[in-house]
Parts: sequence; structure tokens; C-alpha cells
Amino acid sequence: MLRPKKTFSDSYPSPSLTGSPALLNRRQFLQRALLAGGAVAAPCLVPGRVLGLNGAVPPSERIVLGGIGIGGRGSGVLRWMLPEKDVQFVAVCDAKKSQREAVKRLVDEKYGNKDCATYRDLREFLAVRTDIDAVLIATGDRWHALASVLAMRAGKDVYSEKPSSMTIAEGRAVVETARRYGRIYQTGTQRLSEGNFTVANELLRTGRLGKVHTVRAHIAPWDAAEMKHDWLPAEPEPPKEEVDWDQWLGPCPWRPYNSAYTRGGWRGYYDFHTSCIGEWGAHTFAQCQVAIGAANTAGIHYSYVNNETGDGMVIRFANGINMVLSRGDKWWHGSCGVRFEGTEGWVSVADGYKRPEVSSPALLADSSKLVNDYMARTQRPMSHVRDFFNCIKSRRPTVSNPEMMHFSMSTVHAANICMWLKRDMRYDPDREEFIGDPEANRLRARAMREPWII
Amino acid sequence: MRTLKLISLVGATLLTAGSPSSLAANSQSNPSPQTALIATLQSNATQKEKADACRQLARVGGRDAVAPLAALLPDERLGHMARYALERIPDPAVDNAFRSALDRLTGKPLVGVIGSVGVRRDAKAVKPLARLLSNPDPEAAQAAARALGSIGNPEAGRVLLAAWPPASAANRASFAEGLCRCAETLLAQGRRKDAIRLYDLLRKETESAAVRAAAWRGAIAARKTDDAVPLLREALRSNDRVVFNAGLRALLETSAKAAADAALGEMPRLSAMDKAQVVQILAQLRDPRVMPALVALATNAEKPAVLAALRAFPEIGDPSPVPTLVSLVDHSDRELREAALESLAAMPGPEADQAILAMLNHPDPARKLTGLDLAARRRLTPAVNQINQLARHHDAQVRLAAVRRLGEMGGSAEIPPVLDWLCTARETAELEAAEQALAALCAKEPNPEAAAALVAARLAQATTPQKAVLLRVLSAVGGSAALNAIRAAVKDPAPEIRAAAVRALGSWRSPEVAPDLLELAQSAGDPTLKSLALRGYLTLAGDTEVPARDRLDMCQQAAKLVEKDDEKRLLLGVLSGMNSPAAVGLIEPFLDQPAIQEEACTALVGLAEKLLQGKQAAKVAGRLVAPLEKVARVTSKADLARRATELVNRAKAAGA
Repeated sequence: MLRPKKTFSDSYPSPSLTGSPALLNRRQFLQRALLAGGAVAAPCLVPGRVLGLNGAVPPSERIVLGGIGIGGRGSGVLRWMLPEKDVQFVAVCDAKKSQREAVKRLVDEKYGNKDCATYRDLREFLAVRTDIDAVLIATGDRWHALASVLAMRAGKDVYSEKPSSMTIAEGRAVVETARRYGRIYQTGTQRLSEGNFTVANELLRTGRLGKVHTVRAHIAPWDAAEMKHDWLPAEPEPPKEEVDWDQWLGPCPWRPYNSAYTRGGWRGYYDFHTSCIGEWGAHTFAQCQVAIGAANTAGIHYSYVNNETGDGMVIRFANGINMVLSRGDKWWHGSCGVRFEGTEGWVSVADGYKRPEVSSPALLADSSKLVNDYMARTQRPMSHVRDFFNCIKSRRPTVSNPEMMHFSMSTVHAANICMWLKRDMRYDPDREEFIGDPEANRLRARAMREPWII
Repeated sequence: MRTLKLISLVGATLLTAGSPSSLAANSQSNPSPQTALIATLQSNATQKEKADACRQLARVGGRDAVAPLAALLPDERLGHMARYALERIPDPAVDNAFRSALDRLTGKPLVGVIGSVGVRRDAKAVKPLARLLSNPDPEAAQAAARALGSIGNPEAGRVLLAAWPPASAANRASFAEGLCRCAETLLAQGRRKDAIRLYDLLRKETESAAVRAAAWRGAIAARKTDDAVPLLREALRSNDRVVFNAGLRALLETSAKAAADAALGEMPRLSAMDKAQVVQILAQLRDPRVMPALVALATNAEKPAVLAALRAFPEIGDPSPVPTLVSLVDHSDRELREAALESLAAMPGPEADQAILAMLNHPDPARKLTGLDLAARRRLTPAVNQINQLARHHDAQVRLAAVRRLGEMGGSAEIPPVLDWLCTARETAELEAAEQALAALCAKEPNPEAAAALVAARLAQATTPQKAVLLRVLSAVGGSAALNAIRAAVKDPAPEIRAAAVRALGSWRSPEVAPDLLELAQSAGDPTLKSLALRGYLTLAGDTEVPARDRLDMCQQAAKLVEKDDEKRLLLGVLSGMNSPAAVGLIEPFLDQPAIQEEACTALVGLAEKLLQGKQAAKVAGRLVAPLEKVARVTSKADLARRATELVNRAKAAGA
């Protein structure tokens, strides 16, 4: 199957409850919600922001931001971040010259100067730029965890794109490093900061669906769970300044250079990718686990399904709720869909929805209020990057914090391992090991290639 | 190639075989996949084939594979893949092999092996790793420090402790990482004093902010509460933002009330912004014991801290601040007032509910309005009866708000009282509020037919403006009962009712009303009704959910009826959105009508662009040339003329 060049999930801003960008601050959100809500619009009580972050932020409180591995997806996130008034992007590090320069053009154009610095070598970047407070990491999957660990060790707060780990061990390293250095970390599961998905979560949390027994999580409709190990034909390695192939590979096993990898063709390879399950499961598992109160645990039982993708796999959580993986459009229409089913109703939501689909229209009668109250209760804005920046200032954990990332990605990894070994699995999230399955336990980690070792 | 096939065969075997651990254990007695994989390693196989063999051995390798894999460790091309397998083999022979390699290797292979020793936490490797701390290769020394940290036993701690003071600037970050890892392990083993010693050593670091942050966080978190509190205070008094933040992080990790008290005790010394930051962290602890102090803060601190406290209340969840929040709902400062309202709306528990019910009973209408707002935000359904009563209140604002809230919070039972209310409404604002509420209530009604019947039953006794409301509500509800009622109203003797009924038909959400609208557009005696019906009919024709064939038919019917220029514009708008060659002929006559010529040109160009992109481009191209040439001639817009000319060329090319 041909992979689309760009999907809903890969584009920012994502559609939200109001069909508007996820960049909305609370005031804008409420105004749009009122317009969209028609006869059942919420009352308009608009608070300011804690710490007075709205409006011009004094230079002393400006967040100095850098980027690591900013390609197409990363540029989207960066465009989301650049308008924040208290953020100044100053430098980018990338193994590819073309990407370094593209980001520099974007940033310099935004600021009207030529100041954005470029770096090829990550370790030099982290060592030299002690002025940088936080980094946006948007490399391929293979680098997310390692770059996060190295950046946090260098004292940076981190916004990392998903999937944020290649193995269970990598995820654990991110958690430990963030705690060790007291860093703020946000993984790019931005639907946890979007109106439609928040409505679905709140319908579940407030008991309006009754007792929830099943949640369904979308997995990517391309690639498979089983991934490729072959090498593409060797091509002459370009000069390091053009593409630093050793750095591009990072901790992964060496293979000869082929330019296709560096142009997005790394997907589907075991060494670089987390499969069709990780591609969207990194989002949808997190959404489901947060919704069912399992953000700090992972699935405990994985039922193998005899197909190539994991479609239909049932993952059970300790609270008795089943999460069913679904590849097609049966339960939603759009990317990264989730559906929550309870004894009294269901809700289904995916990208591109004007509002969630529900078993009864009454469930949406006060949808804007649900979001409103969620924001008041949690002090989370409906903007994922804003939550990150707020937390950098307050030092409170983000909505997609390291633990949430690690446990939802542990479920992703365990589901992949279940598919690779073609048998049911039992997993102990506390001990972070498979029960009675030594071979599965061997797949929890991969040795990193020197010198890119944690 | 033969080897490649062998590896593939082995891989396939592994996928279908039983437990690989049993495969490994039985390697002595049965020829196993492992044997073949080892043979690959020892053959003249390519790098790729050997790498694949290592990958498989990571899953199934046992003791027999250790020596062949260890032999590859010095190999710059395969050393990593050898470790890839060895790291995952649960056999002490692996540790022996790695330890042995520590003394033999240099450069990148050595760095890799050091990393693997750390992953395996081989306690016997402390001495060789200790020697490596002074290795002239900084990468080896740094890796050794991190590996020692991962081993994390007291001996490793002593080694790192001794190595820290003289560590070079380049090595300090990794040595600190090792010390922190070691401290964490020691702490987990109950060796608190040893852990604290390591953190305290690192606290003296002045250069690296990251190390200071880790050291201070660790030093506070590692201590028992009594010892931790003075250090926490010191951190919160620090002018070093890194240390202050580390203190907050440590506070976040503690559940001790004394720590929270210490933080609260520091409040008077802190700036307003720092106070707010501390409050946000305290809120994360969700400890109700801090609530009295936060309530006090909410009444006498600087505004940022007050705002933070107000917003922390729902997160902590304790009901004690409810009276404080109530006292602030009419504060003169808008930001404070709204923060208090937000918190009251989000506070869990019956205390906030009771406070809001009391607001509804308050004699001051302004307080009632606040209560109504909060009741709706909390979905306070026990308040519905009170709100029903407030819908009859003497204050008009209260009445209107109450009716709107009934719509948001009520259910089927509230439809009759709101209908009653509507039937007494006279003012426009009242009618609008009732309409809003009824539409919301009927939307929630699981049986729309029943809701429509209730609404329709009021038509007979309603005034003309009230009937217009009822008809609009019926249109929104849908269903056969609603449609019958609207159809009946179309024949009402009062022109205003007839017009409202036609409008209701025009806003109907499905095409079943198209024949009604067409008939009215064709034969209604009243020109207003005729025009309303035609507009409704064209709106339906523009609905892309209606089948294209039907839409075209509707346009053909409408083309015979349009008289006014705005009706023609509406038709042209619909036609330009079609994707049918038949639409060309419907647009063409309007190209000669000066008042709408430009709209006709635009519609034709839009239609032609779609047609020439479609599968039937060649078929329809000839039909498009003449009208497009006409557009190019008659339009006054240069851009449109250019697009038309381009389309002419494309049409000619497609038809050639």
C-alpha cells in the first residue's frame, strides 16, 4: 500500500472540537465553541492565565528554544511553536544539511534576521549552546529517546515527537533521566490537548458512557507489524557536511548509506521504526490509556492475531478494560481514531471531526462545557505546545509527561513483540517484564551502537 | 547467498518454533538454529549475513554463542552487532567475555563494551571500569563512569566519589551522571547515607546547571523528611533559579506534610511569581492538608499568587475553600472574579453544589445569575426545579437566563414547562431564549417524534410570533409529526404563519420537502412565499449530500422559476458547484443578462474547470468551447477572461 505523503496526524494544527487550530488559547477556544455550540453553547467565563503568561513576556522569562532533527513533521510543530510570544528559537541541529538550512530559512524569515545557528553534531550542539532552555526533537523514531536523554542530561527541557522510544528500555531511560535532572518533558501526543478528544475522555471519565468495557485504538493503515531487515543497495556516502550518515544512524545497527532512508524511507524497517502499531498507537494508545485511567501502567495481556498488522488484537488492562486495535475505518472516519464503549453509550472521534460521534446526541449537549471544565480542573490549555511552555515555567509535569509516554509506549512495544513472536503475552507493568517468556524479555532492549550509548 | 538462505530459514524456524529458551538450553543435544547462526558467524559470510545472525542470536543465543560473538567484539564493523546479541543472553559467560574485552579493546569497540557492561550491571567489572576512568580517551572514561553508576554498588560509589574531584571538564557531566545513577541504586537498596554523600558532593558543582539541578533534587529527595526540610528551605531561598527549581522538583516527589509546610513557610520571602510557582507545585501534591494555608494565601497575597491558589483549589479537591471562592465571585477585579468562578465550577463535591444552590436562592438577582451560570457548568441537575421557578422571576435577566439553563440542563420533563413559558413570552429576547431552550431539549430527547408532537400541540393556541418559534423548533427536530405540522401551517390563513412555515420547510434537513417547496415556488399566490420556497428549494439543491442526479433535476426546475436577480445568483452558485455537462446549458442563458453576467461567467468557468479535470473531459470538451469563448469576450474581469481562454485551449486539446 502506498503511504500518503502527509496525513492528518502529520499535519499541524490538527482539527479540534471547533474545527480550528489546536493553537487556540482558552479565550479563543471558548469564543469558537460558543459560535459552534449554537443553542447549547457554554457560558463565557474566561480566565486569565496562571503566572500572567498571556501578553508580552519579559525577556528574562523568554524560553530559548533549539531544534534537533527538524524535517517535515518537525517544521509543522515548529510553526506551531514560533508564534508563542515567550519563545525564541535560536539554533537547529541536524545530520542533514538541507534540513538544517530549511529550518534556518523558516526561523530567520519569522524573526527577520539571520541569527538562527546551525549544527551538524549533536554533542557539540548540546555542549556549546548552554543558553538553550528547551529543545524540540523531531528526528525519526530511532533517535527520539536517545536525543531526549542527551538533551535532558545537558539541562534542556524536551518536547519530543512520537513514537518516543524504540524499546521498553529506552522509555525507562527517558523517565529516569527526566526525574534525575528534574527536566520537563512532553511527548507529541497532541490529541491530549485537543477539544474533540478531550470531550471523549471527559464523557468516559464523568461516567456518561456507563461502565466502560472496551476502547478501540486506531493503528496506521500502512506498513505492518513485522518489519524489514534488508539493506537497500549501497550508494556513495555523501560528505559529512551534507549528510552525516553515522550520526543519522545514531544508536542503530550500521548499514550502508542509501539516500532513500534519509528521505523518509526508513519507515517499515525494524532498526528505525516502531511498526504500524507504533506509528499511530503512540497517539491512540496514549489517548485510550489516559481516558481509562491507565496512564501510569501498561496492558497486562496481549492476544496474538494471525494477520500482518495486529488488527483486532485485544489488550487487557488490570482494570478489566479491553483495548482493541483497529486498522480500518469501521469505528471512525479519519486518522488516529479512538472509540470508547460503555454500558450506557459510546463515543468515537478521529482527526477531522467537527465533533465526536456519539450513541446519543444528548452526550454532546454540553461538549464545550466538558472541555471548559477540564481546562479549569487541570489548568491545561487546548494547545499541546503551550502546555509544554507553561510547564517549563511552572515546573509542573506536562500532560504527556515521561511516565505517560513510557507506559503507553510500553503497550506499543509489548503489542509489537506479541506480533513478532506470534503468541499471547502476559506483561507485568510494575516489573516491566513479560511473565514466563524469556524470549519476549530479550526484546525489551537493544544494544546501542557506539558511541551513541546512554 | 547460501548463508543468507540459511539465516532466512533460521528466522522462519524461530518464528514458528516453541520457546527459544528451550532452544538455547537444548543446543548441546539437538542441532538448533543457534548452531547454524554460530556457523554463519564463523564462516566467510558477508557483513549483512553475520549482522542478521547476531540479531537472531539476541533472541535465542545461549552459552555456546558467547565465544563466537565475543570474538567479533574488536571488529569495528561487527562489534556492535556482537554486543547486540551478547547483551541479551542471560548467561554469566557473557559478563566474563565483556570483562575480558575491557582489558583488550580500545577506541569505539571499547566504548561499546563498557556500555554493555553497564547495561548488564556486572558488579565484578568495577575494578576494570575504575581503571578506565583515567583512560586518555574521554569517551571511554565517560562511558566507564556511566557504567559504574549503573552497577551502583557501594564499591562503584567509592570509586566514583574518588574520581569526581579531579575529573576533567570534558568528563564531568558523565561522571556526575554516574554518581547520580549510583546514588539512585544505593537509595533503592536502603543505603541512604551513601546516596546522600554522593549527591552532597555534586551539590558543590558550580559550572554545570544540569548537574546542580540533579544534585539538589537528589539530595533533598534522598533525605528523610526531618533532614530534607532544611535543605528544601535552602533551595527555595536560593537566588540560583536552578537550585530553586530543583527544590520544587524535590517537593513534587515528596508526600511529607513537613515539606509542604516548609515551602509554605518560605512564602513571605518569595516574589509574587515564585509564590505562584510554589502553589502550582503544591497543587500537584493534592494534599488537603495544605489547603488552610492556600486559602489564607488566596485572601492576602499578591495577585499572581492569589490566582494560582484559586486555580489550585479544584486540583486539590478539598471543599474548605468553597466559602472563600463564593466571597470572590463578585470581586471588582475581573481576573480574580473569573478565577473564582472557574474554580467553583470545577470544585468536586457537594459543598460547591450547596453553595451554588444557595446562590439561586439569594435575593440579589446578580447572585442568582451567577448561580444559574455555575449550575449549568456543573450540570447541577438537582437545581433544575429551582431553575424552573426562576424562569418566572420578576427580573427579566434572571428569567431569560433560567430558561436558557433549562435548555442546557433539562431533559424531556422540561419540554412542557418551557413550552408553557414560550406561550407567555412576548419580547423578542424571550422568544429567542425559549427557542434556544426548546431546540436544545428536543435535541436531547431520545424520541424525536414524541418531542415534535408536544411542540406541534401548542401551535393551535400560540400567537403568531410564538408559532414562528414553534415551527422553527419543529424544523430542527425533524420527523413525520413535525413535517405534518409544518405542512399544515403552510396553509394557515395568516400570512406571517405561512411565511414561517415555508421558512421552516426551507431549513428542513433532508430532501423529502423538495416537492413541497417546488409546488409552493410554482403556484403560491403570495410572491413572498413563492420566493421563500424557491430559495429553500435552491438551498436543498446545493446540498452535496443530495444525489447529483436529483440536484440537477432540481436546478432544471428552478431555472424555469427564477425571476429576481438574487434568485438567479443563487441558482448560478448551485450550478457552479455541480459536476455535470447538463449544467452548462442551464448557465448559458444568463451570459446574456447584463445584471448577472459576471456571476454567470464565474459559474461557467468554475464548472468548466471541474468538467475538464474529470474522466469525461474529452467527451464534454466540445460542448464547452463556445460558451467559454463567450465568457472570454464578455467578462470585464481580466483574470476570468484569462482562465476562460486557457480553458478554451484545454477543451480544444482534450477534444482533439
